[in-house]
Amino acid sequence: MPFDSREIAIRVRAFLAESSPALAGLPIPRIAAMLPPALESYLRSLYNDGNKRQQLMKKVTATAVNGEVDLTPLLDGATTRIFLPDIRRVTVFLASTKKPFTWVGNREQLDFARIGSNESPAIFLDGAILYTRNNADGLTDSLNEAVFFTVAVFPATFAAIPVSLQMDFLAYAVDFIKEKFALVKGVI
Amino acid sequence: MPVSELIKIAARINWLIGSRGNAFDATVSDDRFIAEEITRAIVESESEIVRDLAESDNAMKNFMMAWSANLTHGQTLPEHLGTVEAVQIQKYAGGTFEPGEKTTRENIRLWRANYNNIFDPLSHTTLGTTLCGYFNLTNQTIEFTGTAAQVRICNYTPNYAALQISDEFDGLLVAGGMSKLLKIGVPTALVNHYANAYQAGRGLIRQGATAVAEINEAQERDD
Repeated sequence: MPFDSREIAIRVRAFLAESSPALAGLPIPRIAAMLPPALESYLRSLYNDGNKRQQLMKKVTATAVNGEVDLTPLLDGATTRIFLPDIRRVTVFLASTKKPFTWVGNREQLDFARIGSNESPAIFLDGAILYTRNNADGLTDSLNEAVFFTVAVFPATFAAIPVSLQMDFLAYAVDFIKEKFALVKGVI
Repeated sequence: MPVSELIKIAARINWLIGSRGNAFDATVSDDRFIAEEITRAIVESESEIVRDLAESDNAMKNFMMAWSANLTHGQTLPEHLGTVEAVQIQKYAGGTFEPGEKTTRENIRLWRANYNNIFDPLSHTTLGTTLCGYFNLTNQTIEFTGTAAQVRICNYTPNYAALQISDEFDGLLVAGGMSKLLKIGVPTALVNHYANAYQAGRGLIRQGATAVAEINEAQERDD
């Protein structure tokens, strides 16, 4: 069974009922409505937690069009969300040949001839766009194929939360909702 | 629980007012008294006792409680005596009825609308949703999430041919019947004596004199 909002809401309700009699009657739909902001808040907590980030590492594939890989769909994707600074810390590969791109210091360097008769492709991250220089020739806009890299992929949905973090999110959601209710009702 | 028998109550009253033909006979031999009047006095007493039961917390009223026909969202409740004892809701078309849970009208409105699936990916009438099964009763109007609702209410209609109440109330029916017979010439002292007993019995019902069932206490949480 997927880890969905219904399961989470029911589990959260059980936690809340045990922690405070005043929250025992909180209906499932009201808890379910509070889960998306809880997930968002949880993601922000994961950004700074190196140990938990390890469990989010996934291979991500993107496609270069005319030498550019637009990463913006991955920043707020329906299924895949990445943290942009992570890209710069890992190696990007050309999917077809598995050759690693070499990070260059600025975009202008992509126009320079590459070492080893251009056998090593180069790459530069500017904002949310990866600019590439193919190994085949000297043009920066010639690459039209997939690249891949491995970074922490943050869950965009409840079902995407790794099994090893599901109960961690559950505990986080309980605290999140308790905190919100404490502000409103002063019952905790 | 056995139902009280009109003929036995009438015979008892006949005996008390001295109008009997034979001992414990419902036949009225004394033409000063009218059998129909005695019968109606008994049934009217039953009506009063039923109303007392319906308007108090008393398990003896179960015999006259029944589920209403299917109600739609926003429908006014059918006429009934006393309070609504329970609500059951059919969560989706073709599903079984299950006990409903009370919530606010605002929740009902929000959950029925379920704007942008904020509360559940499924609508309130879909199998598997968490939105169904809630109700609100305000001013005799029911609002709910789910397909249909039924309320458990008192549906008593007097029957002058047979009693419907449990024979646990035989004594009270005799007292009630006696208290209404001044008009056919039963002595005032006798009428007053039974009227007092009748009012005392009704008062006990109104006050909810039945003992709290042990199971209620056993089921209470210890936290």
